[in-house]
Amino acid sequence: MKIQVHSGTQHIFIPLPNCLAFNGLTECIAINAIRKNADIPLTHADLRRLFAALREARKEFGHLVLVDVDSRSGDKVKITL
Amino acid sequence: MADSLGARIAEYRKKKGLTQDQLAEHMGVSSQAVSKWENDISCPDISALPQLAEYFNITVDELLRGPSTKTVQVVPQEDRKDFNKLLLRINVLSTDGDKVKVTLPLSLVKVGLEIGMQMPQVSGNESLKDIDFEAILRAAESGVIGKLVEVDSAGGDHVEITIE
Repeated sequence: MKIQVHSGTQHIFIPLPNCLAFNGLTECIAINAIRKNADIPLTHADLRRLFAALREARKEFGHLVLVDVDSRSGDKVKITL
Repeated sequence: MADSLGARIAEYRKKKGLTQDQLAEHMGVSSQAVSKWENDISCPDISALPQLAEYFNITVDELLRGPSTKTVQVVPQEDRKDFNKLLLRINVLSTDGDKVKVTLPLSLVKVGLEIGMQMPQVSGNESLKDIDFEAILRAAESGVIGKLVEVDSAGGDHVEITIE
């Protein structure tokens, strides 16, 4: 998974191997972050299903661009599987 | 469907069960030329496109741009793609001038909806909150593809949802 953020003169590129992005540790971190910041009643089992679906999608579609945001102010965010 | 002309030529050739040599012979070119077309190193001569399209039983437009997904169509059971190979594309053009494009495998959308996620949480765009994604998913499972939703929200956002 790759996350690219361009904002003004700032460019951030985070290449995140899927094995690091989708594992037990990130599952715990994600659950805590979601409970704190979003109103989604996700359980560990739900997140494991989501990770499995993401891994399958990676096999099926390769480096699919999941999210591509271009703001009027010129900021860009791109998340590639 | 493939993104480039070469990839589409390769895909239609394989669908027809032909080798590069057989296609080359039909088109009166060398098999190396066909190989170059398929690898997007070169393009077929413009005058050869109608012959190529006719050979694959498609239009020149479909050959050049791929099958149109702009219109909604119900694909017969035998021609349907595997559900796990379908993509949901959401394009939002907001009044502020922001462009949001979300492309998600339908299998992923299905899991997301089953575990209680909502699309605005994924896209960060509230104009999607009244769209029934479960109905879109059911439509896709029944073989419906194409642009299923094209709305201008009260806030002025333009939203398009396509299954392909």
